Amino acid sequence: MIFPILNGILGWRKAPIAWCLLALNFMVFSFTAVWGGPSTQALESVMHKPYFVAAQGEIYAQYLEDRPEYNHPEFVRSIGRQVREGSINKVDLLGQLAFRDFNFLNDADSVEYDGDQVALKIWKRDIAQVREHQALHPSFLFGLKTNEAGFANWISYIFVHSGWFHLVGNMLFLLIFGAALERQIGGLGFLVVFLLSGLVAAGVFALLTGVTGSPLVGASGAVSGTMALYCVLNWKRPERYVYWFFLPLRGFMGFVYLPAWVALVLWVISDLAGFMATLPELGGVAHTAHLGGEAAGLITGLVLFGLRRFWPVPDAPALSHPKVAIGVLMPFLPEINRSTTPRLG
Amino acid sequence: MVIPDWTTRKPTKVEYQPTLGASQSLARPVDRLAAAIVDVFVLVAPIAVLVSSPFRRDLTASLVLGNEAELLSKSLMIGFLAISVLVMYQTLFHFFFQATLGKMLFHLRVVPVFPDGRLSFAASLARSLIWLFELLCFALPFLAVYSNSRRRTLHDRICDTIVVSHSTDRAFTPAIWEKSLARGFLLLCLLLFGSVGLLQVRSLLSGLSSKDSYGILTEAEASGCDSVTDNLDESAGRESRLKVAMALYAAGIVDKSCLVSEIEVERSLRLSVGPLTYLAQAFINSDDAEISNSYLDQVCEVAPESVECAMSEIVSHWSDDDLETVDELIRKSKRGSGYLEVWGVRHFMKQARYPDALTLLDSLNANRGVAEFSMVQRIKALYNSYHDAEASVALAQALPVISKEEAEDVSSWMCAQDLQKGCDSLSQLACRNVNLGSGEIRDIDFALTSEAMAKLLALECNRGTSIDYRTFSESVQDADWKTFLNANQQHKAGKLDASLRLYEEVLTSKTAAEMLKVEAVRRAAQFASSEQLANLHEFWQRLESRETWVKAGNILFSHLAKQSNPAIALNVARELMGAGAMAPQLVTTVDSLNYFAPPPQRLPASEDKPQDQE
Repeated sequence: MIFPILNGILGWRKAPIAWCLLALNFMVFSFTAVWGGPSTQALESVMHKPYFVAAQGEIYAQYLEDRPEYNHPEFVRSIGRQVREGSINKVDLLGQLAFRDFNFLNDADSVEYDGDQVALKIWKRDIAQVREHQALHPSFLFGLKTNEAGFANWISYIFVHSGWFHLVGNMLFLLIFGAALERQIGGLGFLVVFLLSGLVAAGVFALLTGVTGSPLVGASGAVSGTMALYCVLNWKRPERYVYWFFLPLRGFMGFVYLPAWVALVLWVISDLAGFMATLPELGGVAHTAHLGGEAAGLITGLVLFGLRRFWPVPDAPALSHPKVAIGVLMPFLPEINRSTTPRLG
Repeated sequence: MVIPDWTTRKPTKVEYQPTLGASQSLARPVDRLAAAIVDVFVLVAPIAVLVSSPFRRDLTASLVLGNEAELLSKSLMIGFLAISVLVMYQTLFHFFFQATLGKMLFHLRVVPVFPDGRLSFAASLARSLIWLFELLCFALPFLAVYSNSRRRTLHDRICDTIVVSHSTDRAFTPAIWEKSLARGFLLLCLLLFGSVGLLQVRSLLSGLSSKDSYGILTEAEASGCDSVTDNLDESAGRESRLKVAMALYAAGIVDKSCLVSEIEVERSLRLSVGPLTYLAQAFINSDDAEISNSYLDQVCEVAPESVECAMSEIVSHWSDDDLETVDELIRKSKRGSGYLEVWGVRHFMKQARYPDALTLLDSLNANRGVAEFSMVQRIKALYNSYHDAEASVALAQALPVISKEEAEDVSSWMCAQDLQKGCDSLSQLACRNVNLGSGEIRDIDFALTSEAMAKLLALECNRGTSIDYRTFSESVQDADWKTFLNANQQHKAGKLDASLRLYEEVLTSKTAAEMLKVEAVRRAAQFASSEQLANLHEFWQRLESRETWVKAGNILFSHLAKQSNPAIALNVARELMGAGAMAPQLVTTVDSLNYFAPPPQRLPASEDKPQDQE
């Protein structure tokens, strides 16, 4: 396991914009968690009712058959055919997939079903509730639903997160790369890059993943752009990475200095692999948005490289010992010595 | 046999000459491990993951869609790709640079063991393949780095290579303890893997030998509920499967999952959703009252005159505790569905309306799936409606046909009831069919109420008062049986009041079995005084189960009549006769108590007389 930590987490005086963005994200998250809590709970309780999901699966199976004009993905149509032929163990999966089909949810009132009419009646009642709760749900209000997004949603989606892990993961990278980039290109530049990357990420997501009933939320696209730009600007510069090779042995964990491009390459590989390996109907991570953000960062970096004669980008500040990021690990790790290659064993 | 060619020149004997100079020494095992981790996890894994991504997407799709052929081919493809990337990486780097990137990081080199040699491409490839093979053997062959005197593993020895280090951190020839430890660990692992392998082979062989169970499993997956398939008439179409399943479900032979799988069969046949399907859905969703009621309503909307609608109304009224309407609806409903009759029989048996149950049982004769249920219920209905001789004949007819467990259960039930009347029944058919055991406590399973009661009563018949109820009570887990046995012990010790209180406790318990309650009433009534009987009468009036109420009422009446307590006795008789549940042999006793005298509560207040003078 290898993880870039650069200069660790810089203080708010050195990177005020990065910290402001972090604070904004936390505030929005706290606000949505409190304000959207009841609608989230209500939505969860309806959407996880086994009867509702199973009924939705069966109704959706017929919908897929009845509406060929929507060109549903072949994978979903195959499951639909299996359900229509009596495969009961695929019903729940199809019921979950139906939540992503915006057309199906929009057509809920007029959907026809030749099977269990009681199930249809109860499903229509429940889906109306789901739509009511969705109208009040923060992810649906501020997230990016590609077919009905206003301009505000293209920015607001960056600041909404679906859970603690989602938020903390994104904020960690924002603080490491965002703060480092801010010190190099300045607060305003960083802010522009952050928002621009978010916009491009959303555009790429809309282009590649297409219309979906699940909204896009989270700062990962914008953070990917920040990270990519930092890596491009400091392509060959040795950066500090923390590594751990699974064994609790001396030398199997510590720091290593590798060029910045390693982080970008590993990141792009993981997103590219994730994008290619995940069926868009099943995945929960918007790899396309990550790739869009990375592309935005990469292109911005190339433009700045081209303009270096007219607008030179200053070097990143020299490395110092990390203070916060791995402070907990410090007593267990070998001493950092930049002049020599770290030794294992 | 190969004859050596002595005419050619003898091959020159190759002398081993160490190649390690002052700047080279043996690589440390931890360095080699760290290099391997860097190679595999940091370099090869991301590339392999990226290269295999499209196949992994197809793999997920085929897994979800259940396409086994594609699943297998994609899995093999991914495995092949990952192995290819790993092998090619190692081969090319060893051939061109004598080290992989991980090895370079740790200053390791792979060099030929002979002085003039250079690592050939073939040797590099062979080394990588053998390395992979060793990895697949749970990496156990890698332990050779601790046991070989020059720390050469299998792939090193086959390809004539040695891994050396250019750094100051060097390894030496392993010490004796190091070798012994490595070999001991290897032996231990081999023993462990060997024993696990043997167990696996054994379980595989036993799995293969029990082909029948495997066959049943596969069939169940393919065509819904097994019990329905077994009990379906050959002439009946697949459409009637659900009807059979409903009858089996009503009889308690199958559970809801059978109904679910039959609905799945219906769906696969693309049958239209009819009233029976809605009715089945009402039972399947019985945990959610709202959904279940919606289905019950839908049944009558779709087919108002059908048996399914009648059943739906019956269930609705039964849920509302409107039992009189339920009785009426069952009596009036059309016959022939199977499930309605079974449901009706169970209802009437619970309500102690045995003649009605017998009428319904007559119409169940042709139903193959519930034949056993029908026979057992007939025996119980006949016995409970005081047709003892006919019940015995029905039992004799049923015993060779029904399953062993069911035969034991119904025999125990009948034997226990017989023994409550007297010990002569020990020689009757029912008791002869029950294994009454040696009379030791360990032979009695108190979870099976009928059997336990039959055994206890048989023991009392054989041993009389010498039974030590306290020992029994201490070894019983069930709280109600414990109270019951303690009551017996108190009675035996002459503490009648304490005994009566414990019997009353059994009577009021929410968890006690019906048979245990009836027996508690029987035993308490035998020694209770007139006042205590009046007290028991109050408990009897509060009994919830009608079956227990009827049986206990008849027992109570006979004792009340004997104890010259006619007012209460007549009350009991009126209630029993009003419910049509009076035992025929007690009717003459009622006559002698002047049953037709006006009830005491109807007397004017001024004419209120003492009860014993009435």
